[in-house]
Amino acid sequence: MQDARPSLQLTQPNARVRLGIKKWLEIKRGQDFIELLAWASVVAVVAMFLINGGLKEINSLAAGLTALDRLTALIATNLLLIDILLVSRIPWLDHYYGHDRVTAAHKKLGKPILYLVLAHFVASVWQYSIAENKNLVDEFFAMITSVSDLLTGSIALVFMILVVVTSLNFARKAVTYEAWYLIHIFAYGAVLLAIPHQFSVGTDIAGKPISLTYWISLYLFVLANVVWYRIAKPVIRAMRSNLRVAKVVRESSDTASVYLSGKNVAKFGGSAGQFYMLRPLTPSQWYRPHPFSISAAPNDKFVRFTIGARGDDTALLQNIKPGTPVLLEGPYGVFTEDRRTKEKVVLIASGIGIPPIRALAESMAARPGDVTIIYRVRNDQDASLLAEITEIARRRGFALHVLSGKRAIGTSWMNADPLGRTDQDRLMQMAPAIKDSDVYVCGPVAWTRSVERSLAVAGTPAHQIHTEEYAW
Amino acid sequence: MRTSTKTAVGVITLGVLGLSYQLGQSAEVTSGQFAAPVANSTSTPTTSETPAATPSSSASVVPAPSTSSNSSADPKPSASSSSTTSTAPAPKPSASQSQNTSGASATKSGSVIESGFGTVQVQVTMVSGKISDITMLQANATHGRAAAFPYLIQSAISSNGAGFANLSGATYTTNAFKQSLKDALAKF
Repeated sequence: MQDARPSLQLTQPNARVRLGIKKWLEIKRGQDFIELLAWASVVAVVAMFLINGGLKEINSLAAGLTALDRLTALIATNLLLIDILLVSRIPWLDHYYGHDRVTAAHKKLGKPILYLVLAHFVASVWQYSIAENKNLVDEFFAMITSVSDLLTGSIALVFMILVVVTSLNFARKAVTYEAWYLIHIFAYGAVLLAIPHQFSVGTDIAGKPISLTYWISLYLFVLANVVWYRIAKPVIRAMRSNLRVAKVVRESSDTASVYLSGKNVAKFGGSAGQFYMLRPLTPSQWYRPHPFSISAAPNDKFVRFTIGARGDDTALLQNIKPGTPVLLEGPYGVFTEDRRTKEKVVLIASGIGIPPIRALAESMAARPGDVTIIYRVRNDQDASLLAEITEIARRRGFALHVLSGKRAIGTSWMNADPLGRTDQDRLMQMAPAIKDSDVYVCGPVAWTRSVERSLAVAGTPAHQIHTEEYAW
Repeated sequence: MRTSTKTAVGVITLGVLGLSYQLGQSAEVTSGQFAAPVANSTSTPTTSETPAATPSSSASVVPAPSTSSNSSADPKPSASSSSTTSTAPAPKPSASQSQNTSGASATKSGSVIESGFGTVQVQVTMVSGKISDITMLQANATHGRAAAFPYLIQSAISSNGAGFANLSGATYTTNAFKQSLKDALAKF
């Protein structure tokens, strides 16, 4: 199993890479621009509201509620559309932020949006109950039965509450993945259900050409992105490439590599360090995408993932039958050479965090000695892809340090050292230029934090540290 | 965002919102897209004064009948002041009419409807099966919804009934208007 692989086929590494701080500043500038656009969209909506006299003559509770009702609805809708954009897998968002940060932002935005929608709902019912002299409950029933589109709007609210509640951390553990997924699909339905009342009873949209144009364009933009990047593109590519499992190879006691082949796999693009969402197209798995980093640099023969046995479906995926059709979404992520700014590189992996590190080692532009690889494993026998990474290091002249065995103390991210040196000292010995290097770290969350602390002490600037958390 | 950018963006944002607020304060219309802002919600319920009460629907050619103005031809002096009574069972050629159709003209009132923003009651004049004019006997609507009436009148006349689309931002008022209108139409 762990025989050396003299026959290991490697792709040609990247011939050149652009280095320097300017590259990072350009990315920063791009991020600022995107954030500015998002912010401007909210400001524009509020400005339109104000120009339309939204805060004019607020001289009674009812008038105040009307203003609150309209304003919360406008901001919530705008944020909701941004939130949907964040999960539409737009390539430029991924390029500037990376999939994990975009997803985190999406999750963070959920609760404020719900609060705004709830405020809109309460203010709206309250305001009309004052105008109609009814109590809130009667007024609510009068509204959903007599006013067009308010019933669908209310159903949409119920869905929205469900989506947010089931996504809260404690609830997320209680509901099954299927239930959570289904509810999220319903969220799109909720948005659709909520659309009519905005255009039919929304004071701030109908009959106001500028507002109407703004909202229709925003809706269409979001719709186009979701339909294209989430559905059409992966499906079209799946049909064209006819991607299937070619073979499954055991790599260690608890990991296995899955090779996919099909037509034009080179056309998938992407670069080492990126990951795909993998969906085996079987009745029980097609709706369960799993994120996996490619464990070999992109080439024209196969796409390879190396999968650890980490509960949920990974055991099942390790035993996937050759010939099974699969669908890939991606590639995603910024754990790539694209983010490199320095000549020296240190690649640090722990356990099943090795696949993207292995792919980066294969493809990065480097001269012998430029790259140092640190691979933390429980024991040599369980070290997945060790033979390959050793071979790559040998051929390309990279330093490889395998840290195998139990750690000495709880906070350490290395193995126990017979000489009793600290992590910091050992890091400096393995990678003396760590301060002036780009460092790529991939492993479990707590371990990654620990490495980051060491790097901070060593003085590596934050923009030179690239992490990919291996979530399972 | 970087702090310098953030500060600049914050200042610009405040400027934009401040300016928008200023513009909003001088905005004539508070709600909806309704073109003609009506003086002030309350409008007189029928009787003596003629069209003055209506928010002058541009399309109307017929001056509100049934009251003093065109007494000429009416056999009955149209005691229609109270809402429910119907006027003009007579053909009413009415020389003063600009309508050249020889059709009969009749006027009926709908019931008083509480919209939630105030009471609404319409009076409809039909000439040979077509709505030729609508007078608001009651046009009470707070929160700027009164501005909806001219639009509603126009829509009702051009669609010749209550089948036109609801006016956004004034849904309750629209519904009340339509209900009163349907009631009036049912009496013809």
